[in-house]
Parts: sequence; C-alpha cells; structure tokens
Amino acid sequence: MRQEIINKMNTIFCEVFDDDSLKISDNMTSADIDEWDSLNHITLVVNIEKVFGLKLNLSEVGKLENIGEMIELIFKKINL
Amino acid sequence: MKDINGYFHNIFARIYLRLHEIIKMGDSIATFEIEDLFQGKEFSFEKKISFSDVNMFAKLTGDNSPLHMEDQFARERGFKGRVVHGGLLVGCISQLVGVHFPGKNSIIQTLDIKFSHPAYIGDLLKIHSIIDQVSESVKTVIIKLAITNQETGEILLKSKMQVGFTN
Repeated sequence: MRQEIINKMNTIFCEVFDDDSLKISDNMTSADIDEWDSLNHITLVVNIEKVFGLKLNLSEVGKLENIGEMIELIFKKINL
Repeated sequence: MKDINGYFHNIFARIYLRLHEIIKMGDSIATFEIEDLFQGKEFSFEKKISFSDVNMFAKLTGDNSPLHMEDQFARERGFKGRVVHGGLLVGCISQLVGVHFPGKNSIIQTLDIKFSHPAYIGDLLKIHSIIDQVSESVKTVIIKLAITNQETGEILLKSKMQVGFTN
C-alpha cells in the first residue's frame, strides 16, 4: 500500500516538475528540488488531492517537513 | 461670486461622476471567495471579435504577422480570412478569471491551452468555464474552460488552469 502511494507520488512529482527522471525519497525536501517553490508546492497539493481523492487542510500541509511525512499523511488519510 | 459657485459646482459634479464610475466598476467585477465555489459550478459569457480588437492586439503585442493582418495572405494559407491571434483568446480567459469568475480576489497560477480551430474577425465566441476541483487547503481551484464559435459550434480552444486567491 505504501509503495503504491510512493509510486503515485513519484508520478505526481515527475509531472509537476516536468522531470521524468525524478526519483523521490522519504528524506527529500524542497531544498533538494530546484523548482520546488511556493507555486509548485500548491500545484503538488492540488494534484495529491486529485489523484488520491482526498482533502487536506492548511494545518496538515503546513506541518510537513519532507516527502516521507507527506506519504505518511496520505497513508493515514486513505486508511481513515 | 457666481463664477466661484459655478467652479465648485463643476468640481463636485466631476467628483460625483468619478465616484459613480468607481462604484459601478466595482460592481461589475465579481468577488467570489473560494467558499463560494464548488465542483461543477459554471460561468459563461460571450464576446464578438471586431477588427478593432485584432488591430489593437497586434499593435499592443507587436505581432503583426500577415496571418493576422492580411486577408489575402491568410486565404492563400488556407484560412477563411485574417486569423484572430491566439493571445487575444487567452485575453478572454484573463477577463473571465479577473473580472467574472472568480473575479477580483483571484489570480491565474498555471494555464494549459490547446488550440483546435482558428477564430476569425466577426466571430461570436462563447467562453464557458466550469470548476473542476477546489483545494481549500491551498486556496486554489482548477477551472476547465472551452471557447466555442457560437455559429458553427466548433470548439476553438480548450484550457485547464489553476487559479489561486489573493485574499
């Protein structure tokens, strides 16, 4: 299940950053991807909500420190 | 004294007219908030493309390609006449978002466009939009849009955009 989320997340990241070679990992942060600015962050959230069919809230999004935490949040939301 | 009264009357009249203009302008710009929008909410408006629109757009942008400016040239290239700049149609999208839907609280963040048929001077266009997604966590909506030639029913352009809120 977690791997399935990672795969979908990787596809989202490739599309948002227009880079098919991008491989995400748990410890990755915005500092590791040059184009990860505030606008692309919004686009990531919009795409995550669309692909996984869930709603995030502002406080949840604001607390995320890295991609691993993003994946954990999605995992929890899906399993609620 | 009479002259002074006339002077002030004139000043007040001008202030009144300007205020009225500002208030009216404010009324004509929509003020949707993200809470007002939901998946499936629609908005449409029409625009007729005039010679003046195309000429002014060419002057403004510097795109005076003969495809847009010379009827004969455009016909020789297989079109029915001067082709309306794609950018002018994008201007309709800008008007939609900034003025009508959602209006003054919004800003376009991303815009994907596919042009499928040309527009010509004199065409009556329908700009139709629908909310595809609302993400309240990041105060952003996804809007899908199509511009259609009202007479032929042809879809001239399809677009998908990400629109944020500035308030």
